[in-house]
Amino acid sequence: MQVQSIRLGHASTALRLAKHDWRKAVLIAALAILAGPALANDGKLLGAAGLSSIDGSAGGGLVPWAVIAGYGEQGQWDTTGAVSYVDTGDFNLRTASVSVGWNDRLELSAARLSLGLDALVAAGAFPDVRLDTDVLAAKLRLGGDLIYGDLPQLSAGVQWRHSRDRELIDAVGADDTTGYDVYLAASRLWIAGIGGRRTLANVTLRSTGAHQLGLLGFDDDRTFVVEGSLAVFVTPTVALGAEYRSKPDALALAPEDDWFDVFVGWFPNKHWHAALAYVDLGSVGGVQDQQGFYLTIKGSP
Amino acid sequence: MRFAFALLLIALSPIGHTRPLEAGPAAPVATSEEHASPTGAAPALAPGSLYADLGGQEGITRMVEAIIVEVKADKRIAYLFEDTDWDYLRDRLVEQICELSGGGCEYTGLPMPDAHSGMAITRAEFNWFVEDTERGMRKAGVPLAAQNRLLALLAKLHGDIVGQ
Repeated sequence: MQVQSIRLGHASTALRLAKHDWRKAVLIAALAILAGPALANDGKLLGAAGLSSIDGSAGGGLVPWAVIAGYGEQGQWDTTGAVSYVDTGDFNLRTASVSVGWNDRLELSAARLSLGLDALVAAGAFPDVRLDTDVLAAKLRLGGDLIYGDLPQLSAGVQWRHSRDRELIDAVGADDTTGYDVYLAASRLWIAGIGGRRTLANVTLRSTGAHQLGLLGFDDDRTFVVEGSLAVFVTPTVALGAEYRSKPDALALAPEDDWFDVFVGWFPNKHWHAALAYVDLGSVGGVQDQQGFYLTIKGSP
Repeated sequence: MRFAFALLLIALSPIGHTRPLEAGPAAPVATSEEHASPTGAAPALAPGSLYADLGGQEGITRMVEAIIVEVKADKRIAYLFEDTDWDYLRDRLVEQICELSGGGCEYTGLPMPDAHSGMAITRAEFNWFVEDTERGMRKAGVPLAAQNRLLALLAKLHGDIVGQ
């Protein structure tokens, strides 16, 4: 394990504070849901708002879609809060996010990602701290429509990312603690798709310099990656799907693999959704074969 | 990855119809066991057609009546129907759905843009009507795939209804 050489001194104290920040983020997410607008905000069809992805943007679990967060249609707005948990045994990732969607046109979101390095800590290779990254993001619907008309919905987004752990970023040899992704996403939902079931497909093209979502810092050079999702509503409230997210592999100390998941999503009503996935994250932080589960819960007022 | 996607598709494929979605009139398709063929029914009752899956004229009428119950109860769009002659609306909807689903009827009402002219129906209102339609179809016992096939046809009218 090459990361054994990492030494974190003062960082430990700072990072312990960050632990509490995470709880704060969950609290803020919960408050945002409760304090949401009392106006009509349920103009979209069930499922058409997607879930909250791991980066906080509306989408699947791993991939941002062209959909705008929440159930607000044109002339409406909606707020969303979400938490998710990924556990591979060697690592765990907790995220909390809030987002607002306005007029089915603009989405703003904020997320806190917190990575626990359980295996490295147990091996004494790493102090008992979590690595945190913030993501502030915006998404604009450019045109088209998820369901109606001839063209799929097309959106452009930017995700600004900041790692709070400079010493680790320096230690793994990444260039920066801050970076941003830009992406273009196209989404379409066929009402009578596969087997006469609602079927959603999404393709996202992204330019990024982030190592592992930015948790391990950023590269000065940008990479183009392709991401895709497919989901079928086998019943009006249960969807089965799969996602693929290709990743840059620009960090010599910690090789990075493409991500893949298969999921079952539950959409009992427009106020909350949950999804459980099996994820294959490949090599993470120098540890290979990271597979595990991914649970996410999303709420809207 | 591609392999896993393929697996997913294979896994999902038996969920829907075991017969072709769009069986031509001459296609040798077994009679659907899901629905009794309506007696004395309209001309084109090809088994496996959407019209047949909706239960023919009888099934469509029952379904439209269930949809109207849901629409009447939906406070979000009630104001749009304040001056509605419900019997007239029911008859036109039955005609329209019969025609769209291949039942050989002729819709005798106003063209969609004219029928909704001046109402300035929003996208949200259209979706709420879709939800009421779904709930009505579900309560009338229409199979999910047939519900979705009809909704997909109705969705094509979106541009002629919203914002007129």
